[in-house]
Amino acid sequence: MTVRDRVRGDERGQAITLNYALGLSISVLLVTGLLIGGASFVRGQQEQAARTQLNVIGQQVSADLATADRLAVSTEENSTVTLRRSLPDRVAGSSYKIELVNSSDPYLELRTVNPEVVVTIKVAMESNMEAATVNGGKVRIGETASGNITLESGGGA
Amino acid sequence: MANLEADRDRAQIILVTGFALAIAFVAIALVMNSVIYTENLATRSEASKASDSVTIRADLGEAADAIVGAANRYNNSTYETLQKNVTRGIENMTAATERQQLQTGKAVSLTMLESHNGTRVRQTDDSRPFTAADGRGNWTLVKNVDEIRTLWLNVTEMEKATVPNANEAVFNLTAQNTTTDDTWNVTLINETGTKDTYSMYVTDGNGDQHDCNDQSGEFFVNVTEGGVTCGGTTYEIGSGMGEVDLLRFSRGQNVLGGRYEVFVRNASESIATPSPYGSMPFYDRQLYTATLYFSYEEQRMVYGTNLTVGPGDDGA
Repeated sequence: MTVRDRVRGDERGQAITLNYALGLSISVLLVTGLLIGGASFVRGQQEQAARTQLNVIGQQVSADLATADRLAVSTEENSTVTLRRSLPDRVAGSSYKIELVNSSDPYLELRTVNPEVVVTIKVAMESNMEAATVNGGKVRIGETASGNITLESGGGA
Repeated sequence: MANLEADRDRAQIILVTGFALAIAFVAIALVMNSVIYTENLATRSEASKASDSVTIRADLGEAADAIVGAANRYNNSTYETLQKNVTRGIENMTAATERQQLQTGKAVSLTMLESHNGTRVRQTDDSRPFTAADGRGNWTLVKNVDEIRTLWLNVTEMEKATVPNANEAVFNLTAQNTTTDDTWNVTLINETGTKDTYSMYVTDGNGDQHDCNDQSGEFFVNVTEGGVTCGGTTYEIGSGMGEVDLLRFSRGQNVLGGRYEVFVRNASESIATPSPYGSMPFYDRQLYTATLYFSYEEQRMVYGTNLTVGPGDDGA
């Protein structure tokens, strides 16, 4: 086949190099868009999952605090009240902390590191409480020597 | 040839993209799995149940109270015998309860820590006046008292007061603080002549007199309910003064018939020698209270507290 024949049979409207460049750039743009969208979707789902888990964990700890409070109120002298709870070590792949905040309206604050999610759960108690911060995992709720209710790490059931 | 090579390059990019997206979706699946696991935790009945421990404590407290009551009723020879019987009874009950609760994964125990001695004084013959065993009208029922749990009187007949000796016909129940000499009095006088109708006055520790008007039938000075109730008002025994440590009757001969019971905690040694059976008034040794330690432990909870029981004590 002669060069003239090859030119006559070539139906492309642009040069081969331009063809490559356009094809690759469009593909890269599409792929980048897909990856960014996918990653954003995953991140959003991860935050939502972390929020849901922290809510559940916070409600469980709040219920245990209320139980410990009821038991503490029912005791006489020489009392001991300890509740043990095994919580997940991580939520949505991230470690988290539980903080008991002692204020006029006490609450629990649960916070993950990455993604950063903060959940607040109210606590209703009659007894005095001591502020504390513990890591997720095994948690112990009980009376201190002075009779206040607090959170401590360790001792899960 | 050039076209085929271009197609292969684009296909490789699509493959890599697909692989990256697959990894992302697998990560989502793992995250969702942990969320489902946590939500499953929430639906299990893992919430600590305080009711079990409190229920068992109340049941054991009731049973211990009954043991103390039974020991007081049937074995009141010496305080040591009383304490030994109560301790043994509580040990037997606790052993049975421990075995039963271990089957459900709970460790329960009830241990005797200490007990307090008391004395009960009773007159159950309502044909007898409110005099001492030797017939004296002015006499001390109990002294060296630390606490009064039961004090009630049932007056069925009183001597009629005759002028000018009306003051000689009164009856006085006096609660006294021997340290300060303050007194709290309930005074009865029959001015109408009807054998079971009388006037009652309460004089508190400040010296204020309260007129309870005419009473009839039985009346109660009920310490458990706070004192003497008349006219809708309760006059607390010992109000206006310090702690009561002595109870006495004055002119007990003027109450011609009635019953009474007093149950007190001894401050120091035994208040009086127990009476022979059938004599009136009747003194016997009783355990006033027993202090126990209740312990409850299960997989997720430890609960312990002192527990005080005593016959007639509503706090048990």
